[in-house]
Order: sequence, then C-alpha cells, then structure tokens
Amino acid sequence: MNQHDHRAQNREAAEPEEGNRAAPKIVFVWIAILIVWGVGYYAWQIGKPLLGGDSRTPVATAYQESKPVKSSSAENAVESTDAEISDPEVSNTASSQGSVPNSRTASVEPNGAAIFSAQCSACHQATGLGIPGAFPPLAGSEWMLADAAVPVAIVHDGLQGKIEVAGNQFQGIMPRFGGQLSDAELAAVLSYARSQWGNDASAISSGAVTEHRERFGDRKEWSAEELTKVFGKP
Amino acid sequence: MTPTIAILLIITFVLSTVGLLLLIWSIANNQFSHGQEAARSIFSPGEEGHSEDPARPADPSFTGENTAQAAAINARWTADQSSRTAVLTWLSSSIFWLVLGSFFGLVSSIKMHLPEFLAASEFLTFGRIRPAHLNAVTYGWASMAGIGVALFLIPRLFKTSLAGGKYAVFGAVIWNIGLILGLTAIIIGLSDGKEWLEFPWQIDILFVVGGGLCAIPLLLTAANRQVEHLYVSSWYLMAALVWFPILFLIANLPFTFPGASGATVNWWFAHNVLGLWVTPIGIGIAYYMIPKILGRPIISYQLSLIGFWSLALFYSQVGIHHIIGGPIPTWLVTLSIVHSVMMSIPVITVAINHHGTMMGNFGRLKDSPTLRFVWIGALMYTVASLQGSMEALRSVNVITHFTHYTIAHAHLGMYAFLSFILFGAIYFIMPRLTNWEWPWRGLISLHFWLVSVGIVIYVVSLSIAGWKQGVALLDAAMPFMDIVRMTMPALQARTVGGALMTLGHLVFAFHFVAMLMRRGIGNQQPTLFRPAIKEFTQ
Repeated sequence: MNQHDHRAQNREAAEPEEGNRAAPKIVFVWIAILIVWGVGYYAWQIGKPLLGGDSRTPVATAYQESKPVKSSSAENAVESTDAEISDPEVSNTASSQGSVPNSRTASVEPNGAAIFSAQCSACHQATGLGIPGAFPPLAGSEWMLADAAVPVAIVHDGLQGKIEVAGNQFQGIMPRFGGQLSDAELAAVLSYARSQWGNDASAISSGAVTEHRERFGDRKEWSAEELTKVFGKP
Repeated sequence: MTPTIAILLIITFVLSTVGLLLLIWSIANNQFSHGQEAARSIFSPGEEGHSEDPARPADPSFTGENTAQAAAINARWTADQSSRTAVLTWLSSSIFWLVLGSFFGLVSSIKMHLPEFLAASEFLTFGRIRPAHLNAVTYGWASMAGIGVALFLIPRLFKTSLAGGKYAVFGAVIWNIGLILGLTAIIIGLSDGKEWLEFPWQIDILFVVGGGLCAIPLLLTAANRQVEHLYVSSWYLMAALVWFPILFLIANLPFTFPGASGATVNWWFAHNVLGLWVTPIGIGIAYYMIPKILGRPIISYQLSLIGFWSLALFYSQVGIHHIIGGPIPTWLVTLSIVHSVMMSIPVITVAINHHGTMMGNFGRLKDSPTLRFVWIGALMYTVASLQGSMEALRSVNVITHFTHYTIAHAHLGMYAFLSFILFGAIYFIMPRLTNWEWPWRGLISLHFWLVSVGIVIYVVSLSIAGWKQGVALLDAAMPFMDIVRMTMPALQARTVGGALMTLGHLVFAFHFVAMLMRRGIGNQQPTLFRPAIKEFTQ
C-alpha cells in the first residue's frame, strides 16, 4: 500500500478519548434542584383530578363567572363541574359543552352571550359571519330574522340539507339543541343572536320555545323546504 | 390519589432517580475511573496533539516511519475498507430519500398557504403528502444515514474490521424495499393512521428484518473488539441500535393498543424515536467528530457517564407530554412532564462536554466543513432540547400545543441538530472510503449556506407565528379565520426556507454523486472551506 492510498487516514488525528476533568459542581447542584422540583411537582399534583384535562376550560370558567350568583344555581353549577371532572368522557368535551346546566327548569336568567360563545361560535364564529362555504352567517340571515318560530325550530330540532342564506348556498348539518339546553337558555341565545351584529329582530321568550315543543314534539331535523312549507318563506 | 397510581408513579420516578444517584456515588468513589494510563492507551503513540483537517501531508512525523504510527494508520485503513460497501450502500440510499423527502415536505408546505396547489390529485393531498415527508426523512434519510455512519464508526471505535458487512448490505436492500412499499402505501391512502407509525404494520416487518440484519455485523464486530475501554461514542451508537428495534416493534404491534392507550403508545414511540434513536446517534457522532477534528480529548469522562445514563434512565417516559390535556390519566402526564424537565441533565452535561472541548478552537470552524456542521448540530441539540423541556410544562404547553411552534421545534431537532451532524459526518467519511477528495469547495460552501439560511428562516418564522397563534387560539372572541390569516406570512416564509433547504440537498446530492464517480481534478489536499494554502501562510 502506498502513501497516496492512506492519505485521508494518514492526516487525521488519533481516535478520540476522554479527559479526566471532574464534572463541574453546577451539574450536581442542578441535578439536586431538579430532583427536589420533581418531587415537589408530584406533591403539588396530589388531590388534583386524576383523569384527563389540563384545566384548559376557559369557556366554562367565563360562563360561570358571568352567571349571576344565586344560591340554588351556584350549587347546581358546582355539582355539574365536579361531575365533569370525575367523568373522563364529559371532561374531554368540557370546552365545547361548557358547564351549561342541563336542567330545563333553571331558575336564573341564562346569559345568551355566554351560551353563544360556548355552543355556537365554533361554527358561526364570534362575529356571527360564519365561514364562507361551510357555515352560514347569522348576521343578516333571513332565517334568523324571520318570525320567531323559524329560528326556534332550527335550533331546537336541527337542520339538514341544502339551504340558501343571505344569497349563498350551504349544505351541512346543524345539530339539535332541544335536549341540551333548557327552553330559557334557547330563548336567551336566540334573543342574543337576533340582537347582535346589526340584527334587530324581536327577543324570543322561553314560552315560545315551550310552545314549539308542545306543537311538534320530538321530531327529526328540519330541511329548508319543510321550514318554508310550515312557516312560509322567510 | 389511589394507592396503585401513586405506587406506579413513585416507582418509575424513584427507579430513575436512584439509578442516577448511584452513578454519581460511583463516580465520586472512583469506581469508573479508567485512569490516565488507560486513557492514553487509546491514543496511539505519537499521535496526540495533532489535528485532522487542515492538511498536513508534509508533516514529517506522519509518514508512517514510526512503526506504532504506521500500525495505527493501518488499523484505520483496515477498519474503513472493511465497512466500505455497507456504509456506501446505506449513505447513498439515505441521500436519495433526503432529496425525495424534501420535495414531499416542500409540497406540504406550499399547500399550507396555497390550498389549491396540486389539489386535483388525491395522491398529493395534504393528508398523504405530509406523512410521506415525515416517513421519508425519518426512516429514509435520518435512520439510514445514521446507520451508515454507525457502521463506519463502530469498526474504528473497536479497532477491528467490520465482520459480516454483507448482512448490512442486504439489510439496506430490505430497508429500501420497505420504504418504497411504505411510502407507496401512504400515497395511495393505506395508512395506519398514527403519526410516525403510518406505514402499514405488514410493511413494518421489513424494517425489523432490515434493521436486524444490521445488528448482526455490529454485534459480531463488538464481540471482536480490540480495545479494553469503550469510548463514549460506542455507548451511544450501540444503545441506539438496541433501543430502536425494541421501540419500533412494540409500537407497531397490531391490534394491541386500542383507543387512548394507542395514543399513549403512539407518542411514547414518536418521542422515543427522537430521544432514544436519533439523539444518541447524533450525540455519538458529535462525540467522535469534535475531538477527532480538533485532535484533543473530550474534556470529561465523568460528564460523558452522567450524560449517557441520565438519557437512558429518564428519556423513555418523556413522550406523553404530547397529549397533555388528552383523555389519559393525569398522573401519567405529570410523570412525563417531570421526566421531560429532567432531560436538561443529559443536555447540559453533553453541552459542557462538547462545547468545553471546542473552547479555544472556534477558529477551526472557518476551515473544516465537518467541524462546522457537527458543532452547529451539537449547539442546536442543546437549544432544541432545552426548548423541548420548556414546552413540556403545562403553562407553556397550553400556548404552544397545536401550533406551528411545535413544528419549528421539531425541525430544530431533526434538522438543525441531527441532519447537520449527519452532513458533517458524511463530509468526513466519504474521502476515507473513496480515496478521493470532495471535488468542489464551492459546492460545500453553497450547501452549507443554503441549508443554514433555510433552517433559520424556517425556525424563526414558525416559532414567532406559532407563539402568536397559540396566544390567539386561547382568545375565544377571536375568529378562527383571523388567526389563520395572521399566520400566512410565516407559512410563506416556511416555503422559502424549505425551498432553500431542498436546493441545498440537491447541491449535496449532486456533489455526493460526483464524489462517487470521482469527478473533479483529484485533489491531494482535503477540501476545506478555504484553500489549504492559506493554512500555511497563517
């Protein structure tokens, strides 16, 4: 083998090795700090809910804070929050469900803005403008501004299929909220949506929702045609 | 807290902590000392204090007159020749996948701000092209290049020939077939549907076999070793090659982990690919290349020990921090957060060892391509890992989770750390295998600047936009589309950065092929960033 053949191997330094310098004290100090911190962090977690969640439920919190405090409903809200945290399935959906009480007989005046933010704004957006091509706007929507019976029907029973809103075609599914929100809550959120973003239709009373339920019972989703047939063109 | 959960939690943490404290106790009591004499025996006589890259062909002490020196040079030559075919096979394949994977990445990036781009073809939809990018660069580029470099280093570290190199070549063939089938499966829509584990499990068998075929020569070589003391690089490389097959096999077991436990195993694997596979490979290579190029020892054996064992003890639990807030037990998340923060121990020790060795030699970065790539990679390891420990904390995670910030962090690790070190290693290895110098200095510079500027644009723009995105997403009053619009400039900048990196890879691949074909004028001097003549006039 000639010199030329080895030139790369030839010019390099020896195989590397380690020196004997002692590890700096700061490394051991840092290890000690981290062990103390780690044990402390565990200890701090003792008593926290064991299942799921990272306390990222700002919507639920905001709703609770905005609620007027009355003794009976405060208890009710606390109970429902506890149930949520100990039940993994519910806590998983905590951010979308909020802590809106399920009871149809809630005694306080529900806050329409908070319910809208928790239940509606994911699709229809906080601006009420929806998302073009996917979710219809509520601002300036002829369906929202029509006779109170129409929006009550849509939100209470849901809506499916083709629909034209403010000159644009949409095709999707609006879920029913009849089972989830009380009549008073449905009325509050509808009144809110009918008075926001330049909308100025009349407020809806919870009696209107009760009336609707008594008239139609538990029915499947509406379609745009059925709505037109039953309530007339918006 | 129920007793069972408390006990599980305590056992995992206590075991790791006790292990680490035992190690420190042993160090304090000199149980591990290999002594000055043993250390010196690693250096062949007369070699200490010389440095590699600035060429010293005229150096009289290195003409092989001294028999001990001649033996050392011969040992290296023999080691390199024995691993030549296997290493070239793995490295060439890896560079092909690097280029292909870069184009997949670039297309995914363009789709983020131009959704209509190539939208007509179902095969090129985002949901397919993005996993194709991830799998091509992880299992194609990073893993194959990593195995290639390991195959080169292990015979050298053990001062022996690679035994059974043909198994490794055969392994590369099977691994490549696995990649072709796996990527095709993803593109036609047959995916396992879990991030990092998209290849259908039937195809994963090929990777297990291919990797297993690589283990044979490495184990044979280890059994055949001619050194008493194992240098730190060999610990990392051997450990990585043991850990990865176990992780890959367990995570891909079909029908075993349904539902939330599937998500847990998914992220346990995905983060361990980073921490127990590519990290030890990257660190192991840096531990070899930095002292090799500088011609001076790594400063502290004690730090090497603490760094290696704290990685081994604490890493495995880290991955669950990806599902903070997910439907899994909180104690598991807490455990993972604590272990993620504990990771700063190996990171800091390795950083002191690497950068401490560099201290006083930063001028060498101007000349040596290998050193520049490897040291920047080592530096980015420090940065990316400390950033990762921060991101695991609940208070930071609530902002960065589900944002572009995480993507920037992933590329800082996989690219600025690992890929840079692999680039550097390939620049070192190829002249030794082909007996030819890199043909064009300008192309190495071009490659370096393209990928460096590219990754800086990429990481900086996505980190800033990702953080703003995370803060905005917590504001329920902010419409989602406004947040998307806000991140648009960063997404476009990402495409620019990605295009520069892809261009750099094309330059690198071209240069690599030219090197294999022995193009250029046939330099006798190593190809450095600056003409060697300047070295002598300094």
